[in-house]
Amino acid sequence: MAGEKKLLLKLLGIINNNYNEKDLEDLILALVNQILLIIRRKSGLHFRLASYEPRDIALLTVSSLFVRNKQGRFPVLERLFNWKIVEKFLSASETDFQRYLKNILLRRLKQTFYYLSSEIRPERARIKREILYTLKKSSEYNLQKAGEKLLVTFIPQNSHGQPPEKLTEDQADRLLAICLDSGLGGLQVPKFFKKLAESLERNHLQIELTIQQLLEIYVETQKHYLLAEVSSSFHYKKQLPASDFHENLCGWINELRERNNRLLHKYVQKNKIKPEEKEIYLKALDDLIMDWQDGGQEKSLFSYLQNYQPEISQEEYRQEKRKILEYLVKNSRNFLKNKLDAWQTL
Amino acid sequence: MGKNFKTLEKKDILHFCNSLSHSVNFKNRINLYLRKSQSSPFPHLLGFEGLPSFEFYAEKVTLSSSDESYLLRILRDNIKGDLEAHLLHPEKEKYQYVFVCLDNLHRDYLTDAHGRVYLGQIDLDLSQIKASLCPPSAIFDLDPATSPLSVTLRPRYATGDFEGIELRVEFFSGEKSRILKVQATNLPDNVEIKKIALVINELEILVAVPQKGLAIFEPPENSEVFQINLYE
Repeated sequence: MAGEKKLLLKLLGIINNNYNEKDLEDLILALVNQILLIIRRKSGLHFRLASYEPRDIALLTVSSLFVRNKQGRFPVLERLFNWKIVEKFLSASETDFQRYLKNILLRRLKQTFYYLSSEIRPERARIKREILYTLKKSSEYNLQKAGEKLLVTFIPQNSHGQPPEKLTEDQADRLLAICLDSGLGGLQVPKFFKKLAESLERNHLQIELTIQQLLEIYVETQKHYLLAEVSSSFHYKKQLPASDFHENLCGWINELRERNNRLLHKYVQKNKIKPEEKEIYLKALDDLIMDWQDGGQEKSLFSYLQNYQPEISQEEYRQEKRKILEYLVKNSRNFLKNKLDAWQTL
Repeated sequence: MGKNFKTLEKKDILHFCNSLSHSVNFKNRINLYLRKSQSSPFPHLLGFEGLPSFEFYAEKVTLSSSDESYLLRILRDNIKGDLEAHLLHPEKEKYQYVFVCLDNLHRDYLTDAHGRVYLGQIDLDLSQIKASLCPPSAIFDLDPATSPLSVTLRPRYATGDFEGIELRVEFFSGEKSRILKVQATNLPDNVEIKKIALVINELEILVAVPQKGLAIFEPPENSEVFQINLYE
């Protein structure tokens, strides 16, 4: 039996309160290893910025899932992997569960970074030494003393017939924006400055900044990456560009909304729903799709609809609405699944 | 060197997994010994005030600490066949929310505000029983309604090395309720916090195994006042 299915069965055991310590230990170890894999694959050296090792972050992330209540149960874990979710994945493909698990772990990892954000203490002295060493070795940057300060200059080689635009000390913010735009987060110092030089060359920019300012820019770029950008590209085995994925996803959701709109319009024409109900279904579907992106459906379809139609009763829902909503949900799920499959096989 | 580090890291991870899945080896452990004295004819006077009358129960075994300050009585509910334990001590900090470790089962249980713990239908040879206790080493009170987003707490109760300890509590907004980040500061070098308990009310207690003295709790919605206990 493949690894993910085994994990699923162990989760089922925990939900049913039918497990032994060994099962629990195996599950915890598997989750720690999954998170460590995610951290190590994406983090690079930027974790040196924090007073926490990747291992600490992984253990902390997992330990928050295994907080016990008075009955010895794990409320957080059981909320994320409730019976309904586990049952659904038991009959689904292993890839689907793998994707869900990674999504959940990634979300928890991101939360851990968020909780630790006030404690991130960059090892500035160490990073500064490394920046100095890199810049001294580099032929693209120049170091010169200006009184007490150590100035770093970069002059683009290709002049394009025009003098380059010069970024000075008071424009450090602009350089930070360039670093973020160029995706320099998560890079080790030598690679960071190599890529920065390429970016400056491309933008025809000259810099003249102190070493301290460059240090701050490096740290801020890594912090930003650590806190905000560690997410999206983990969703899939293949390392696909995150920006492409988000762009595509927005497009698919808009397309899906249009499809659902057309379907609901047909229901109105056939007098199966009232015209004013169309928007209610669309809003409920929007919420559901949002949940799919954020770890999965966590409540009943009735609850989604009830949010926008509080007066609806369970009986009325069962008799008149359920069939329609379930059909729309099934269609939407298949639509997104097909789009994702097609994108991944590109 | 690299291999040694990897082995060490693997060992640490395994130790962590073990601490989450098995009972913890508390440093502040008080061993209990079987008391051979005649059992009390009135167990309800010691442990069952306000509960069904004692004839439903039969006192099975009594254990005490070496100085006899702690008394643990394990009783069987003759109707259901369940076991219950009652911890007695003159000070409430030493019977409320205390870990009772049943060494034969490799499990630990947390007493409630009355020193009571429900053991259920466990396979326990009472003649061979080995038990120990781990009372809280420090207790902190927190009122989320009046606390700012980040607050440093001094202990209401602390023993030995925990007297100078402080607890930094930060609140974050979660999906359904506020999330609590709890971190012990000023920890002496030789002290390791093995467990942190967040007591929300009589029914809701959350127990975390901290990592680097830090634990993250997701208490239920509208929780009012918390008590935070540290165990060594």
